Amino acid sequence: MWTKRLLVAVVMLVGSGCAIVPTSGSPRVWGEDTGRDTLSQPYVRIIAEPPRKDAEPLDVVKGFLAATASFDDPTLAVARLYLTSEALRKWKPYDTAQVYDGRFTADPVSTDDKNTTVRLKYESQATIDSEGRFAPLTSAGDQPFGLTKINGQWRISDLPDGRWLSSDDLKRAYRQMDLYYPPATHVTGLVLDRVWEPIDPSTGVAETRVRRLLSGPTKTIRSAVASAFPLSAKLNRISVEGNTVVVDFDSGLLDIRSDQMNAMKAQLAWTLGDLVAGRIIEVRVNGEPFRGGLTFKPTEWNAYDPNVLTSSPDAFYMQGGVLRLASEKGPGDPVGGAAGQGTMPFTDPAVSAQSQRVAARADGNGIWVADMVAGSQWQQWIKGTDVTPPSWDRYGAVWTAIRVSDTETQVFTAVGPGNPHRVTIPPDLTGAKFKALRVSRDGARVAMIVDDGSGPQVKIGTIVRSGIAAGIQEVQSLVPPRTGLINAIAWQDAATLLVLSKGKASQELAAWSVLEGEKENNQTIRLDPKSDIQSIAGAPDRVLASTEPDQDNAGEVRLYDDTKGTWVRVVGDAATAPVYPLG
Amino acid sequence: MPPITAKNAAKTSTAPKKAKRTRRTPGQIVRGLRRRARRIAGRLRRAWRRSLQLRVVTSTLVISIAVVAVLGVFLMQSITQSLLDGRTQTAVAEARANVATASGFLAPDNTDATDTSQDGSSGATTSPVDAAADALAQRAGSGYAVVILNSAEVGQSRATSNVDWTNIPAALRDKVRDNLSEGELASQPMTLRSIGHAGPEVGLAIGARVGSYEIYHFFPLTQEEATLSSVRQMLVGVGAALVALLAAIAFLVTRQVVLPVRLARQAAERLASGRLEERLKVRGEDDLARLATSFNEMASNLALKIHQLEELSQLQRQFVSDVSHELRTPLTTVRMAADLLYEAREEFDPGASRAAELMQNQLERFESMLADLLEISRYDAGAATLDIESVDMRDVVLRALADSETLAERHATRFELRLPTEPCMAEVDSRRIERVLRNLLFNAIEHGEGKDIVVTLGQDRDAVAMAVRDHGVGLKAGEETLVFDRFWRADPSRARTIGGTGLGLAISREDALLHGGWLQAWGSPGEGTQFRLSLPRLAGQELKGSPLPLVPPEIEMRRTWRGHGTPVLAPAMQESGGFDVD
Repeated sequence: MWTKRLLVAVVMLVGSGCAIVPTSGSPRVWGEDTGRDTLSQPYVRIIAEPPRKDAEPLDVVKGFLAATASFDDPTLAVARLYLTSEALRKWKPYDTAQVYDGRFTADPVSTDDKNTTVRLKYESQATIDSEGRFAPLTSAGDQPFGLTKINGQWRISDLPDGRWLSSDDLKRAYRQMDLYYPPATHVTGLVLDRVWEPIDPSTGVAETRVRRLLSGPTKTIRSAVASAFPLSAKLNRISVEGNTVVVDFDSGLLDIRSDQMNAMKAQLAWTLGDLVAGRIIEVRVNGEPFRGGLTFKPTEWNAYDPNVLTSSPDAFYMQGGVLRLASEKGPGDPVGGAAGQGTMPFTDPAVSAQSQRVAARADGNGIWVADMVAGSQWQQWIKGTDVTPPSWDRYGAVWTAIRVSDTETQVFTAVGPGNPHRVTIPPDLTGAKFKALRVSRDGARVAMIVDDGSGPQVKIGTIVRSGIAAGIQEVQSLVPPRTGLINAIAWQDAATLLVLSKGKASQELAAWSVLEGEKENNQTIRLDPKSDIQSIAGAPDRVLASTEPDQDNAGEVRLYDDTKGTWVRVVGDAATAPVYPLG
Repeated sequence: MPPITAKNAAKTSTAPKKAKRTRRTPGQIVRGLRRRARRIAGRLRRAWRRSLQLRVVTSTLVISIAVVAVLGVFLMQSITQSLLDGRTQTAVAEARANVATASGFLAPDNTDATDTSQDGSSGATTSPVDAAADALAQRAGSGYAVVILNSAEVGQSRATSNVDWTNIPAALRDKVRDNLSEGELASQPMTLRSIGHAGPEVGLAIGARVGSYEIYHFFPLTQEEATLSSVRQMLVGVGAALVALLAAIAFLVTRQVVLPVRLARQAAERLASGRLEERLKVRGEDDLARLATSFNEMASNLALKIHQLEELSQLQRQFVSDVSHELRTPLTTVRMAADLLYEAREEFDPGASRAAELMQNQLERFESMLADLLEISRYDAGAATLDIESVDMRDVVLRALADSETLAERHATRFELRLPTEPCMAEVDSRRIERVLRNLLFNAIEHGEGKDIVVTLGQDRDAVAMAVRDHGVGLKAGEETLVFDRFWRADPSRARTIGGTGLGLAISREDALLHGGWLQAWGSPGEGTQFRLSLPRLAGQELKGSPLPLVPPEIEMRRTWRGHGTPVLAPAMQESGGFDVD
């Protein structure tokens, strides 16, 4: 009897042994993929090659430039092989790098067969200075490289300092890095700084970002921000342990002030940005947990958004002399307080943070402010006759520029009725005529339309505050002087400024990257050719514009649809002056 | 404390413990270790020789380790092979797809495009190699790395991620460059190094050629390595467990066999020591049970036979004793008649007179033989008892000598007496000891061939001993124990001159044993014989040694000389020894 049973068991065992891969089973749940290493993004490097034997002068120069475009070796040992010993002595490779778009031509070899020149003709050029700041120089040019024959081989004897990178090289080897620093005024928030850094293959993108963050902000913004990291802090390495990104600093981090901890965490979370999305950040010091284990999620620090606005900010517009809050359906309601009642005519409204107050220009009588609560009254904050439209900053101050005389402009800021503070501005701006002045939402920069006689241009300055006093420094040109008009500017986000200009033929609306001095993607926003735009307002990923009244309609407010590239009407019926809080 | 040198003294003052340790020289340590190792090896060897179980378990262990090792290596190799093959297949497929993609960008008909972009006529288009590298980098992600090399044009070499492109194996590079047609791939295992923190890892390089470009893929095999190492760990663990299991099984199985055998051995030992009632427990019906049954049968048969023999010998003894007793009465009558005849022999004719004398002599001998037989049958029956008293052994010896005086004179033999000066007290049955001595003396006189007989008395704290030494023909080797047998005769043809019964020495030995003493003989052909009687001083005490040597001292001394004599002197000494004997 039992032998039969044993036989059955053996047969079953053998049978189950035959099916190695199971053909059935219960469903199994797999969690979210958190093991993916987002820190190591794919990138391509150029391989530096030593000069080839009997290479033509053109190939020598190309090989040299390719070798300088390689960031594998910080000492550039391979690139130096292309140089004569004299050139090697003089060459300073770590100066400002030049980015070109161009082609090479080789001059005919000189008669003595010893010297020649290869010319690089470029149409456009940009620079990346040693801080990593990108600046376009849209001038075409011609850069000669002198070559000399040494021992029968061509070597570069005369060359410009710094690396020369093609735009391909830039795209390949550099990454744009957004660094975030808390403002010097101890307020919850961050200010954006943007640099271009080459990818260091030995460390990777994340480490390069944090190292660059630790080395401090660029010159233009340095006086407006204060990094939470102690100067002595150095990064050891960044590693991924499961779902946690471990940022390991050296003991220099121990000097951090405890009131800076939140700012430090926010800086890390925002600077690492997309690399740590959906993960947890842990800070360690020399491999030991910092202050009993410091871990946090990047999403905890959303409140530090330099764009300040929420993802769906309130939009306002003027209609019938009152300010209205736009709504999804139908006409918007008038806002509370004096601005919604039409008791006093006003133009160019500006809304403060959290939609608390309205500032507006009442013709010829300075800047007036009203709370957006029922029963509020207009109060005159800044007196003046020729004032620019008001602009709020995140600290609740209203800014304007006043043309006090034909030769002088003064900039004022006020936090209450009367007693405005004068803002110091560089002397070369005092003579210029201001058409607009807008403070960025992070409160660190100011954009101005000025005309100092060479045509209207847009300049960007950095706001430096000390106590109640403020000043505009580090003024740089964003949109160079041009013939025609620059109608309006509006901050879209912390680094993007919308510029509405009118050239000879038509209007042009473009988003300019403030930190690179270029139009974003070198493109403009397509406009409806039938109707001109009167004023604009910007919020992250949103552009509002009001059209000039024409024969078809009495002016309307439109929203730009980014994906389709078309404009969509928000409100019609003579709606004007769209506005988002701040900016 | 051994004396310490100045250097050592300094050390001792600072660290006494250390100095103590340094006092052992390396040689001593080595010797100590060697000694310990020898001791352990000896113990192991003994255990190996003695334990069947150890041998079986050890050989099972060794054989199973060999088998498991061979099996494990084979298994590991085949798993490694199949895993790597699979991985290589996937990698090659991936690389092939990538090469197809790349050749779309890098194909020779696209070289025009290269030139235009080099001219910079349109800034938006990237160079084909960049486009290809970008595409491959996106595909590769962080999974593997790609290197594109161009040996024809400068500045056309790209690498993705942080791979160190210089670690392309030279053999692979040559293969790809020289004899690889388009569409073919070459792969080679290698060590992957990268720029930065990460250490080297195992990897696979796959090379291909597209026009003047060489495309190399580097696939890390760390996951496979981890899998294989865990498989290997598992194999080692399972193998070790298997070996341990086999050893345990061997242990249990041999235990089942060895345990009954051990029990049987112990039972046999007990049986051998005389416990005939010893039996084995029979369990089951297997071979071992049958062994136990046979053993038990053998034991009971043996016991039966021994019992029968005992009964038979008892019967014989009884018979001898009875015969002796029964013979006494008629003998007494015969004796009385013979005495009458002997008394009146003067009156007979010479022939009859001689016959009467002869009868008288032989009757005396018959009587004494009968007495001896009765005596020995008493011993056999265990009926002999001692009449213990404390006596001075010198008196005993002297009495025995006096008894032998007449016989000695008849043989012209002289006694040399060596007695201690102080009294030599012992608790003995003096009558029996006297008889023993007398026996020994008669014996010596009989075989002494008229030469001197040395009688020695010795004593120590626990024992007394008497030695009787003659210089007669001596004993042949092996006869030292035979002399004590009943009716034994050195030369059967030799007639008994003094009419010994042939039982004297047997009775003497029984007497000595009854006292808890020894009676031993030494003899050498031509050297004579020595008998030694050793007795404990106190009755019932165990005899541990004898105060006198069994071998006469002069013989012992001569033997030692001969052993140590120089080769030159040896023959002379042998000769002189020969004369001594003569």
